[in-house]
Amino acid sequence: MNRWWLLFLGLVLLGCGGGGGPAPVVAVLVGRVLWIESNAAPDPVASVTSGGNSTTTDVVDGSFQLDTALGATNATISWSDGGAPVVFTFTFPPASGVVDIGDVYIGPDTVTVHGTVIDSSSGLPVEGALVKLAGRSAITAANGEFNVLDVAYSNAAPAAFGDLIGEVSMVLYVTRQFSPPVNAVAGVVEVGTLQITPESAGDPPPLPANITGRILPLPAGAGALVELLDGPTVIRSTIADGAGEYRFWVGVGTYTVRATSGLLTGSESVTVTSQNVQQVVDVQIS
Amino acid sequence: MLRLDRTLRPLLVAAAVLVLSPLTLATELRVEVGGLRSMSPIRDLTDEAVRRFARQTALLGRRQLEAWSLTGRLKTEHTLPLRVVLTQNGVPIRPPFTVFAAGGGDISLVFHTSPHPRAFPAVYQTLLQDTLTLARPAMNAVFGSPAVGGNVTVSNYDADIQDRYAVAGGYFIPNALGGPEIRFPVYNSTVAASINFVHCLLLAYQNPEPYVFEAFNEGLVRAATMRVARTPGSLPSAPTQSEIEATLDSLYDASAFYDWSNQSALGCETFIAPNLLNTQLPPGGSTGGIYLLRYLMAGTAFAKVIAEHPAFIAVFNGLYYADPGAFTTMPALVVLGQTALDTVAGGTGTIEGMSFADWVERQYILDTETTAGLKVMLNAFPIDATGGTSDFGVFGIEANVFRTDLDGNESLLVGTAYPIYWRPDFSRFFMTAQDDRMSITGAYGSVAPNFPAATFGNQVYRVAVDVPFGGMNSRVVLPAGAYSTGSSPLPKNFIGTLTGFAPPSSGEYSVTVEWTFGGGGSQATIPVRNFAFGFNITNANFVPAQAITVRLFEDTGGGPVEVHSRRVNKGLGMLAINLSHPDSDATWNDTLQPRLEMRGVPLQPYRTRPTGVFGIAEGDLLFAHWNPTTVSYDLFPDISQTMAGVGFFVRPSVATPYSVNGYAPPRTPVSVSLLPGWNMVSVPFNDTLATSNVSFTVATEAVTTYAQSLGATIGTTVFEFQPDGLNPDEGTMFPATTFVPGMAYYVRALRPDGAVMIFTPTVFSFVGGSQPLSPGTPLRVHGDNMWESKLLIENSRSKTTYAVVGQSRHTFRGFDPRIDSELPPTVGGLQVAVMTERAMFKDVNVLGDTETFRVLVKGLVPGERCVLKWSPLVGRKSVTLYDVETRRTKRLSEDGSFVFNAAGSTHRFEVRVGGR
Repeated sequence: MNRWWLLFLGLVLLGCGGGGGPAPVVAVLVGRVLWIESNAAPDPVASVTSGGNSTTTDVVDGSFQLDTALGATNATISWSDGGAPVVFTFTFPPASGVVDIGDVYIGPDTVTVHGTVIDSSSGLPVEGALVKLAGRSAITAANGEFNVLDVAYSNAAPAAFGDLIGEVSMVLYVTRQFSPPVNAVAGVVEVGTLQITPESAGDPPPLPANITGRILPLPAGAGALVELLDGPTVIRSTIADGAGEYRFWVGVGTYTVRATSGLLTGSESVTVTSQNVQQVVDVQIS
Repeated sequence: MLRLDRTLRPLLVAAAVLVLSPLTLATELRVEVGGLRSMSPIRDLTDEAVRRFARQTALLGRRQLEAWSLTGRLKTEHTLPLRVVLTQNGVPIRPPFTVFAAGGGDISLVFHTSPHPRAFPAVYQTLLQDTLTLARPAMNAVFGSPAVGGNVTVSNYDADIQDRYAVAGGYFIPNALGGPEIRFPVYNSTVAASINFVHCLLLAYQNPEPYVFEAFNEGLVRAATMRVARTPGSLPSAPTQSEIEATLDSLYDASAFYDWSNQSALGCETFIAPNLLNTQLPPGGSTGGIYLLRYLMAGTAFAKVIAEHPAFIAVFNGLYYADPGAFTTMPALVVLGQTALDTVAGGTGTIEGMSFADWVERQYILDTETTAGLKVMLNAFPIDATGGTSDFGVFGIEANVFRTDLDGNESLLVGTAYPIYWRPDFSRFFMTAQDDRMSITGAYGSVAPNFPAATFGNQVYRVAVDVPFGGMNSRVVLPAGAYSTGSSPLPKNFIGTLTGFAPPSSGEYSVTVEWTFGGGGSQATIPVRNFAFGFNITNANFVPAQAITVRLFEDTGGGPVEVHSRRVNKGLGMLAINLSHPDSDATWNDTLQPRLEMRGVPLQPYRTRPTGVFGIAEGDLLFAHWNPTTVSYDLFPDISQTMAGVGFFVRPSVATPYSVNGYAPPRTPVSVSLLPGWNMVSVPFNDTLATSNVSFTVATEAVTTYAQSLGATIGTTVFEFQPDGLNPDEGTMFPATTFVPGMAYYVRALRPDGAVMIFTPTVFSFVGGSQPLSPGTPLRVHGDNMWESKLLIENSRSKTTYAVVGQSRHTFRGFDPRIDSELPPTVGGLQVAVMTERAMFKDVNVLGDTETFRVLVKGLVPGERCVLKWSPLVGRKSVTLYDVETRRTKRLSEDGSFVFNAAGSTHRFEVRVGGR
């Protein structure tokens, strides 16, 4: 017991040593700063400040390593090419040991990135998912929505935004990536619905398809015979599932989707202009 | 530096549109002049557009250029001569034929005279005039006479835009208002000036309707420029060879490492992706993808042709000029090329021993089709060792990673790659931490490993380097210790590797080299050790560009026996080659049935676009690849690469026999990159493999066997797709126990870093290669009471499907990725699943007193007679089967069965078991 007490006392004395001067260095911050317009290191280099210490980014790859204070929770990155300075502040959990903040982007402008995360199996919103993009992050709300704030952007070169790769992660789900669209409307980039798949999901990829839809109304649509006609010729057929959903995968052309359930029938026309264009065609049977 | 009027400048900049037209000549920089009519503002507008282009291309390649500067590869300024076409409302302005007479003939230069602002200093004008005068005989011999002769004005174009990497190399405007015009900068170096002026002159030599494809247009001009510059007496001031090579080595010639760089990522419609030209770049620049390498490789490809047939380009051009409209497609150009070859050969002509069609197919830079998808391009070069150090095999390895969209735009990707270094026996070894991890920014990353001498006691050895990234992998094969070492720093001028050959049964391999220059000669008996070699051939006749023959011998005690030979058209100076086993050049023949199929091609196709591979029209091709990062299928044409190891769904409307040529070296393991989640993979070579021939590695971890990887690196079950016999658009997912060439498989990678899947051929000849260095702890521990049984359903059409249930003390209720297996894609057709919260293929629960597994059979034809069979896999267990639909029960013991009529398209059962 005495030895433990002496060890504790020694640690306290070590911690009390000195006084004044910079805070004791007990954490190391590492990461990489990238310029949004080029997806590469900022040029000229940017300065990184955290815990009262500063450094500059590597001219080649934008990486940095900075001694920071224990418990520091943010880093400020400043950059200027002689014009108005660009300043971004990134937060992280209280620093201890080595803290890797990964790739963080800076740029001349900022946007909010909005979207919704849903479960790919159930279609239900996922609450608590972590959405990360360009060094920023957000947690999804109960309705699955998220807003990632102050994401680096360039109004002059919005195309570069599309090169970003974001990530959605959640316990018991497979982490997925996404690329945002490039256009911002009133300072918001809408990424739409992002599906994530449960780790235990039994139905990962369905068949490839470019025409999907539902046979309505239910329950008659469930189990309906769904046929795809090219002129008078049936070229595909399937049975609608319990939710009345069906899917076809076809080449360029104009087709008719025909559904039959007992005495109920219905049809819709659809034109496929390119195989990679997804179309949703719901068919009402009566 | 040209100054534009303050009021005019914004207008001009706005009007200058940089367009790489996909419909006409890809190299063209098109400048829209709108309603402008007078010469001066059009000239200013054009200059501004070229400056912007030059600056953009310099910034795009800056990181690459800086890297090449550091390694000594870039010895001069970066220049890019180009052709500029003026357009009005998008249509090229009609060329002024009145001053540029059609019908061939010589070109004459017209200079402005001082004090005209576009006049050159008198000495410089003389240099340019002398260049034409001296180079003309060689240009005519190599490139043929000008398509359309006449006067060409040469104007002083001050290209200095205060960036040492941003220098336009001059440009040619066929339809300038005053007649054809070359605008040319004033270089400090007379040699650089002369060579770049030859390049511009050859652009002027070309027909007003140049080749549709940049690979041909730019490739022919660059090859001819090199040839002319190296023709003695063709440049003013009698520069030395080293002065000439300082420019050609840097900006034109990739011949030394052509084999290493000949990769599918080079293929494209336009060398500089359209989006990259219009992206705003920072002053520091970016890497810009691989456009610099593409220019070098295009010129070098045709330099290989004229190394063997010096008159080829002249004949080829002459035939083309006669009717350019007839040669706007690749098949037509290939026919034209063979005609030209036959003409210059005086019979059936070949290049490197191949017909023109076969040769073109094997040069990826001459693949002129856009293929959408992820690309990983590796560029490797040896680095001179420092004498007296431990340097043994130091190489620069650069990766460019980008995603091409269907318009040819290239997104420069960011991320981390983990290079894999393979010994000759394909066991993995590790370098330093910084060489085992490649940080990719702006598409570009690099490492410079020093492969150690101790590996084979200071003997040379082969290292295969894989760089997997984002579901794609690229490989370059390097000879460690062959080029320059600390103990022998003088670089060797002939280095190489063997790929696909068996280890020598006894004795060793050796190579010889025969050259034709200077009356011919040979270098005998260059020893090969560990599939690598390096030698300094001191005979000066080896140095020039020429066709050489490399022969491989094996001496098994009775003297050397030739086992392979290869014709290689080398460039000036050193040569690095990879000698592949002749069986590496493979053809895969197969037939796609008119139904949904999950397939792959067991080779790396020379031409990857699936429309060409399968011969299916653009609008009809249904081709899809699952993208686990977006949790959706990439559908053609968003994805249009057919790559070795990558699986895909395809759905032809009629039976489609196809034949595809590609590369698949025997005895060579191949790595396939997996992303987290479901991946569609296929066997990358023509060999049916057991799971014991498949292994895995993750990031910088050791290789693990298939068995060790189950439940840790990948899901516990790999699935194959069996098409349905009745509905061609449905099928059944079935557990795969072997990997069959031509088929594809769903593999689920569990680790956040994904994984690399290594396929090792059955005929491999190495002990332990590509297998884990030390066996790991078994991940699945079978307890005394563990059991697993198969529940198999066979329908009336003899189609079968099954699921697995069981119990173990070493698992838990719920999904256990170490043991349980989810059902892969639900695809319609006959399928049985164990229903928990989700549909499972395999569900093993913890041992308990009682257990009930709920089983759902899908894809049945109502009323059809089916059989349920119960058979043990591990241990034995009797169960009670309860038919939920009919409420019947039956006790099933070992190998028991149960007959039922399908209640509908689905049928439910319960498997009830007792505990221990």
